[in-house]
Amino acid sequence: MSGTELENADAVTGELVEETETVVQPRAVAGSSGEIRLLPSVSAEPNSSTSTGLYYILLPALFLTVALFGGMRLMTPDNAFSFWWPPLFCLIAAAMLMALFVKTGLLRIGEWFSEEFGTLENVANGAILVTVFAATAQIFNSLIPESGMWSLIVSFFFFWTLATNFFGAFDPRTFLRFMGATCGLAFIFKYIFLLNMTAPAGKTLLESFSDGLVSEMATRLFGLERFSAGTAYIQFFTVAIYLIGLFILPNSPSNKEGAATR
Amino acid sequence: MKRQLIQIFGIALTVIYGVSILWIYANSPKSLDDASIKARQTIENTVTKGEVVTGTYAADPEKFAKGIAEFNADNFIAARSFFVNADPERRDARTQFYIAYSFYRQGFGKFSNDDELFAKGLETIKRVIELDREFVATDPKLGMKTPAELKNEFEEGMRTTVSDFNPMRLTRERK
Repeated sequence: MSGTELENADAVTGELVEETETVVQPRAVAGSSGEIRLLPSVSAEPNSSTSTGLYYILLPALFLTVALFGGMRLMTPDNAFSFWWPPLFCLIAAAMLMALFVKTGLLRIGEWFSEEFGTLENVANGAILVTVFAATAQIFNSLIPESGMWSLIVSFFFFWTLATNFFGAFDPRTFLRFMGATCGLAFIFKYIFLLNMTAPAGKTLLESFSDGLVSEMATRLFGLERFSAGTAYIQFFTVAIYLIGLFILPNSPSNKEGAATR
Repeated sequence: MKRQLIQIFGIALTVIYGVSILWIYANSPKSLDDASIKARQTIENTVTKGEVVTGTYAADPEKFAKGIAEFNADNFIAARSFFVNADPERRDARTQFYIAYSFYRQGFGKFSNDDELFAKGLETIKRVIELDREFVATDPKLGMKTPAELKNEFEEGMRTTVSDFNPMRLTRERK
């Protein structure tokens, strides 16, 4: 239980706190097993328009930008756009990661939706979470190789990491650091290691083997897609935007602070 | 109130941006120029489907007239291109009749007909019958005025019979 929760629970007597007009902090209630929980306060002072705008406009815009560029690749040799739908595994991994967000407290899902909120508030909060899910699925789409043996191996390691994290104890900040490290590692593997291993396209078979026998063999053997270098730059900023989005994402709409200060 | 306005704006932004992303992934433009071309096509298709829904849909008379000019000049491929553009939803019986007729005239042969073109023509004329069973062409240059005649011509043209070996067939004329 955090210190903030204890401070707000001074008057806890085991009964629900009376809702009054002057209550500006989240309400504290005692659970059935004696633990103290915070509930969103509907009578709380409305957030400033800046933070409201940040949550309801900037956050969806950031996450949707990630959803847009996460599946975008530039193909060699003409840098033509190519858009890759997220494979089923990306959706499964995204669902697992969303569950981990909830488990680690990065998202307090119960405080995003409430019968006490108006329909508009619930829909607006839901829209943010949908964009978070879409961006998460596209981040996996971005970081997992598209085809071949490496796709299978990287997918397995992502699944392994996500599954084992269900049994670990993380606070939101530690989990964010873990996310940054995992995304960074996967990015370096795919866009530095594998991309440099891939032979360029647009050459005849003879030219390919005479110019770079090893890279051509590796490309064909591992089923690597031939993307141009611009893809790595696009995906670098996509991953960065996603992590920034998670950094400023509040664990509940009534909390003005992002994960950075939690 | 201001908070609610921001929420409404946020939801609208999310929906519009999300739909745009889905459109991009569904159409897979290869470049920014390609994206603008596909966007224009999408808008045109949407407008056309809107016309169908509201019952105001009609074939484009200008493109249809160009198609007729090409049709009369025996340039059937160009004619069909104009007809298809004039009636993208394939709901105008007259335009579809001319498309079927162009398949007939292009596929007609004194020795043998082009079965592939006749099959396409048969498919199109069946659509005309579905659209307007009572359709009658008013063009005096057409030898066959009704879908039933044209359908019979296609079916007979694709069927191999003893009469196909009759040397008098060489004297028959295209309708």
